[in-house]
Amino acid sequence: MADNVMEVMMKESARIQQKLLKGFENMIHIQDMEEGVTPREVVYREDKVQVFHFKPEGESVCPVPLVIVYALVNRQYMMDIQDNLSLFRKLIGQGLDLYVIDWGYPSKIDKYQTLEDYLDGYLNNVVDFVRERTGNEKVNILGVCQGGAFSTIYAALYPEKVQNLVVMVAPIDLDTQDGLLQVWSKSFDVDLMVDTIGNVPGEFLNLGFLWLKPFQLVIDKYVGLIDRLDDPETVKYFLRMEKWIFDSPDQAGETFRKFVKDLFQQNLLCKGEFKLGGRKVDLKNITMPVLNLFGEQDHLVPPYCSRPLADLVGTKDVTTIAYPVGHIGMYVSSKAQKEMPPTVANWLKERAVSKKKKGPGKAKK
Amino acid sequence: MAGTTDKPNEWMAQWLKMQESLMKEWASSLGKMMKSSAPPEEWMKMPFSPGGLYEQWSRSLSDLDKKQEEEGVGRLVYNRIASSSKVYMDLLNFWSKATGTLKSVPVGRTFTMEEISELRNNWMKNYRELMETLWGKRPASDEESLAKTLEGTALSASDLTWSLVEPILKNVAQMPDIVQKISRGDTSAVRFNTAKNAFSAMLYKTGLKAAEKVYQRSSEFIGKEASPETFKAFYRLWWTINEETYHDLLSSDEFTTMAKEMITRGLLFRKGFDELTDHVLKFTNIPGKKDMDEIYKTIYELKREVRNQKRAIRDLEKQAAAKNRKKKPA
Repeated sequence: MADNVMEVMMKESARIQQKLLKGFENMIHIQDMEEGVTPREVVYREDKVQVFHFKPEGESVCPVPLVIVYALVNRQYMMDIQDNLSLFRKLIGQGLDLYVIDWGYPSKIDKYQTLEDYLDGYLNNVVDFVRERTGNEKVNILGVCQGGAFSTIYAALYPEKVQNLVVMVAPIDLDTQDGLLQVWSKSFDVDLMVDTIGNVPGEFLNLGFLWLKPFQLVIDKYVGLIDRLDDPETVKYFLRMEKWIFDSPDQAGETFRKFVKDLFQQNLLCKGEFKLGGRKVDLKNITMPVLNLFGEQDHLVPPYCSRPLADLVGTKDVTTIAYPVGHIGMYVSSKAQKEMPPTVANWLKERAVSKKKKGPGKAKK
Repeated sequence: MAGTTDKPNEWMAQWLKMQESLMKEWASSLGKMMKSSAPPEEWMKMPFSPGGLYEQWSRSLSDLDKKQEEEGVGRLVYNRIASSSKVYMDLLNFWSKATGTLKSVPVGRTFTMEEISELRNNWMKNYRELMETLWGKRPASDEESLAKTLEGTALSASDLTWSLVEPILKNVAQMPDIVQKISRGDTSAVRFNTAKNAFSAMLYKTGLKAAEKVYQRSSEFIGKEASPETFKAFYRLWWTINEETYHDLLSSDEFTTMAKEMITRGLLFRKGFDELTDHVLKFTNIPGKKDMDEIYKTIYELKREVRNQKRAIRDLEKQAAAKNRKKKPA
């Protein structure tokens, strides 16, 4: 038996060394990976925010443009991670005219930037820009993760500018003791944190995400890759994912304070008591059609945080679809990649009544 | 591939040469070892055992890697994979010892309580050694020696703890000597260290709890032949039990309370440090945190004002355009 053990150790050591060597050759010299693969054009800039335009393809083009509002805690290129796994590419392939917001990286100078600045300021300006540019009175909005909560708030405040609202893995009802992030965020002193350090480091939030499944995400994920280190394509995909996972912008202090205190700690949005810029955000103002998409196995934004939206909004035209995937699977799983783009596109096209604005068509950058 | 930089690496040839000589040395030593009169159990302790060799190999790779000046995404991710593979290899080392212990257990034999206790103690002793390579030495009972024990270990529970607070304390962490000097007698530093050590001890204690569970399940491997598949099954059992055990901890009030305490103490320490720094900077021409915050606030307010003015101008332009359209004859 001991001889066997020795032999197994030798074999395993040699196998691991061989694979690591191959991985070393395949990856050590790669300096950077692309941030998105689909051709795009920067059409708008304001401070650190920029908007990418992805032109629609195909014959049946949706007349109403779609503005994608991503979260502040990660970058939007997860939805365009590589050629065969790009939701953006598939959405434009379905004839959607895409405008995607890149929030950028807040620095120390942005510590006083508030949620009002993001929503009443940047997001509202972007929506106006797209309305002007396309000549539409209204736009469609797709909010992702934290961006889903932002889009919901925005649609409640500016219903006259939103034709249809689509949200993906959006944290709406945060009154739960089950999700670890929800439990942890309720306990810590966000005022002390923001008052002391200003912006909240992206690294800190990322650690929180990793601690949700420490052995899987810190050890087994990498051990599992060792066997596939000699495949350059697998390695490149893995590097793209790793780059995205650890590409976490810092959070503007004042925005973080309000988001955590009002939404995570007090669940004010769900209770109908959330205020922005002195105005009460009444979700019943959301009278446009709503498409709510979430992952049944999502451990970051569990289904019970997203599902209740249907009962909170003021429209009966709510479509709720749960996919049998996790948070990341919503972007890259084969199921989501195959089913979600046509579902979103068809749902939007069925509800796309383009009302053209009067006046000039093209807006200035 | 657009946006991807593939740089030629001249040092690769040098590394491969070194790798080749290391492999030769290993093969020769292993041959001598297998011919030696030492029992197989002793082989694990020899310098050229697979575990020892792996250590040397990864060290040489890491030394060579350090010579690279640029830190790209490939290197960063490779380092993460290498760290995890070390955990995997340490577990393999433990498994080989545990398998050696289990092989002495004849299937179906009834044991006395003393024998069971001895088996368990041996198993736990080996597991503690594994934990020390993974998480650092076992924390001592009193706070002072606990801090000393945890200090300086390569991948210790205290490192894990520090990794949680480091992002929010990074400026302070960059100046340990200054911190030590100015924080002498400062209770916020003492309280922070106490909270940090208690947090580390809680993580370590949970590791031991997981060890006990892994031990209880290890009887499933009695009588199974040693093979890479058996080891992989053990590895899966090990990490899933640890995941579950740590998940229980992470969901507990104890964790939330202690994490809150540590982060709060860390922030209070940093707050005190910043105030002290501002006090010192008053005697220089260098702006302190308060001065910079005032500047940031002023810039923020100006930017906001500009944004509001731009919007007001745009609205006025639209109103004017609408009026002009109305005036125009149809």
